[in-house]
Amino acid sequence: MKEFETIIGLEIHVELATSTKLFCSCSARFTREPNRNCCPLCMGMPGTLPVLNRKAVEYAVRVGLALSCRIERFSRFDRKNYFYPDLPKGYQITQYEYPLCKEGYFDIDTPQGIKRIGIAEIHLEEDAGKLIHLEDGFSLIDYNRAGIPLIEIVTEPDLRSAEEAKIFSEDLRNLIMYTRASDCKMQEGSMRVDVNLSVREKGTPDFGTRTEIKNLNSFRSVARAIQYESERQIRLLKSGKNVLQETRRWDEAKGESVPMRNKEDISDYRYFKEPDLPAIILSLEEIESVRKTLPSLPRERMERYRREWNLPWNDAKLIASSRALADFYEKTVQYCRLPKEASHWVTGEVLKKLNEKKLVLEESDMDPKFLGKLILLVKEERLTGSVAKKIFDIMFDTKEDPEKIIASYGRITVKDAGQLDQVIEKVLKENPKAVADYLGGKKKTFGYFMGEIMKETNGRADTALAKKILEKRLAFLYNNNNPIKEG
Amino acid sequence: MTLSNMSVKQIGDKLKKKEISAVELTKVYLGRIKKEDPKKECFVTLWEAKALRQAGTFQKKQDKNGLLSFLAGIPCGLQDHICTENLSTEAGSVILKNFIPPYNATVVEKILDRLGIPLGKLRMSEFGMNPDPIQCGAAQSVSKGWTVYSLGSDVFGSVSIASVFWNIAGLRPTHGLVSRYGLIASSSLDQIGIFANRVEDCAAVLSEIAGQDPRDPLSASFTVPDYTTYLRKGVRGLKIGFLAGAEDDAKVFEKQGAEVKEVTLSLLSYIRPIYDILFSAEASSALGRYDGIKYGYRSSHGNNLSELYTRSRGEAFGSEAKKYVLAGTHILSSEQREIYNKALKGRYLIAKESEDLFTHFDVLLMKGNPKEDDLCLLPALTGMPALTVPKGSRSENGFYGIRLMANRFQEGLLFQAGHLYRSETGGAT
Ligand SMILES: [Zn+2]
Repeated sequence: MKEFETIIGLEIHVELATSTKLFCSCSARFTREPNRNCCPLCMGMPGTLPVLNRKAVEYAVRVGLALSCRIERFSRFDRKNYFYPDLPKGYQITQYEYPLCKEGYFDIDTPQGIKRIGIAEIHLEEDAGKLIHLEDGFSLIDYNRAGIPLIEIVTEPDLRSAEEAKIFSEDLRNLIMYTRASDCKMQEGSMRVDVNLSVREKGTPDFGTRTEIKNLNSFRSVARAIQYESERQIRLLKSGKNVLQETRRWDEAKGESVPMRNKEDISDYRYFKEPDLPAIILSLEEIESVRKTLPSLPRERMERYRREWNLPWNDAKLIASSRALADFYEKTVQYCRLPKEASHWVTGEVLKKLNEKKLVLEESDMDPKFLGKLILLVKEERLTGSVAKKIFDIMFDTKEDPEKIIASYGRITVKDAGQLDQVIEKVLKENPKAVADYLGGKKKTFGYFMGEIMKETNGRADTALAKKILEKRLAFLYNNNNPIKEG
Repeated sequence: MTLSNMSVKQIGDKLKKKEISAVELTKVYLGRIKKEDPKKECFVTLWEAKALRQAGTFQKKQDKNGLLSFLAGIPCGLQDHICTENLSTEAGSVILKNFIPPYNATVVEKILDRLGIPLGKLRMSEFGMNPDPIQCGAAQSVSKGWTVYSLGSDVFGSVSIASVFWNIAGLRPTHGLVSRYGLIASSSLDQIGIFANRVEDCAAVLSEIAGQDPRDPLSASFTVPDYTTYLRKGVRGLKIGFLAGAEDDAKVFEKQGAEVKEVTLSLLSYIRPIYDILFSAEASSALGRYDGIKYGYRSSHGNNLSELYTRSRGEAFGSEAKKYVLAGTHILSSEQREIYNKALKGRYLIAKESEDLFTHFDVLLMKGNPKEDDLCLLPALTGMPALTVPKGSRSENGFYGIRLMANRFQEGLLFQAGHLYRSETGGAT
């Protein structure tokens, strides 16, 4: 039986989060009102000339650096010529011959370990407008998107499975969001993934005929489309047929891809140097100054958390996946010096709460110092875990200092041995059966008593002290073999 | 009133002395255009209201501030591919039928800001692609005395050809000296040019319309001098290289103390094919925006998208545009790619040869020619400026003055030499 291997390369378009478009001063913000952010230039009127938005170059360089690319000190724009109503000038200004960034890589975590995926190039280009097809056969054009800066990230054909492609896309999205170059919202189209896929018999050196799959609106679609396409190609080859070089369109509802255009239809884009724009010349100083704006990146942070703070892989990865979360975590640790506990809180309560409230960390306005304080209070045994969680809930809503919350909600813990003894005596009295079980050798019942004690004290009992007293009382009962009578 | 042969400066002086009012002057010009060009063969659109408004503003400002600019109060014309806000701009093509730009070209803004008086838009061949001087309304309008100066564009050497044909002065400035924003160009080789009766008028107008423009990324950061200060510098000590055919003209300069020497250009025969290739390639792309979708002409016979494109473009483009679009599409196709790359290389070599020439000479002198030749394309390929100077008096039949070229941003030298030539050959100064 022949064994096949799937070869995947991705082309990822990412809209840059600049405030204005790539070649004019129109707003690049998303708006629902059609043709709101337009001017003579981005509507392709004659006599207008493109003026490069340097911010877009800076953002693209940021992504290039984050992907360990070589940033080209000379790059330039080309025209890609074709006709379509969403393309106002009859050509798209893109980078064809001399892209801005080249030869980078991105390490992803696969179940088989770290895998390095090559980045062939990143180029800067303008987006096209959007067509809205009406039911009566007419189409409307919205040029709001026309001219918004895009980068296209082209990977080497290094991916081998749907799963790898999905991990790559997700990690890439996290990375780009880290650089703040884009918000990477797939549903708004600010990140779009195209797949190039071919299959070959394992062990053969040559690539098979590849197809391109477009219209992938989520990472899930990416994975599904790859699965579908690789099975389709393998089926073709096994039955002795050929794969056609074509572009296919993924239909998420049907779960299949359909041919969009074949090789003969693929137009000759007649690329040539954009004569209206000067080349982009970057000095080493400029590149270095962009590098300085980059934060410490996910992999670097993850490795640091594991190395210096001994976090388990999963927690380190989860925290490092978001810049805001990682920054928050690090500030918490800075305050409490308890990385393990902090990671426990951040991956637990903090994320749970954000999920619950459907917020992102930036919106929550949480003060990492307060979380740090809370963690210290627990560590110093001034709070039990369950009380701390309650305080955290309040803190999340009120943004108040935990000390202040505690002050207004009564004593911190019951540390009074006499008071605790009374509570414990009561608990034992009320649970004669459990006491009998314990004395009969069921040591697990101890936990049950502790739970009851916490209930009685609203969770404020000092755990260590309660444990000590409970042990003493139970030992006394055992030694005297004299269960407490009811009443 | 005989204003038709007066210079920018002479009219300016009259306005300053209030021998004539700007409104009066504008009315005289408009009246004459209406009378002498009733079929709109030269002025395709008049900007009458705007012109009179500008003249009115000029008078108010004049009383307050005195004269501000060479261009203030001076009637001028604009070729119809220079965009004018809220005024039809069709660039000589049916495809831009009824196109009314919502913006002014930078040169128009400059003229308006300086209280110049744009009288209207001038006829041109489709996108200026045909350098037939008869079709050049910008040169014609100046020659007829309907404008004091007109702005046109240089496509296929049209500034040089038309100014010689109409016996006026014509300047193609250095690439990047005058903003191209708002010029409906078919290629980056196209350049806004100045037509005027006199060299000194070209110098005055250039001093006002040149300068870096944030809207044109290829406009150069260059401190624009007052070019009129070069006019009377003479040519003593200038090194002038001349091409065969301009021997007699060279003598005019030699007599005034210039060092003259005959030179040859080895790559001359490559100029036209290279220009043709580069122009066609760019035009095929630049004209892609005219698709019948957003503005301009739309065929009523398009039943689907592809038909709408082919019909609109097929019906509206003239033969010149179609020729260059087809040629350019072919040239840029992946199979023919070598042609385009070779042309780029050739352009580089030609520019290099010209630059080398200007390390030995200040000015290059050529005979004027009212017809297409290869040399009239040299400024476009090298980005260098060229000035056409009519002979002061047309004494000998078929003798049409001279063309001068200088290194980039050396317009001053052109004015120096051009002005001297004009006065030495008996022209009014
Ligand atoms: Zn715009």
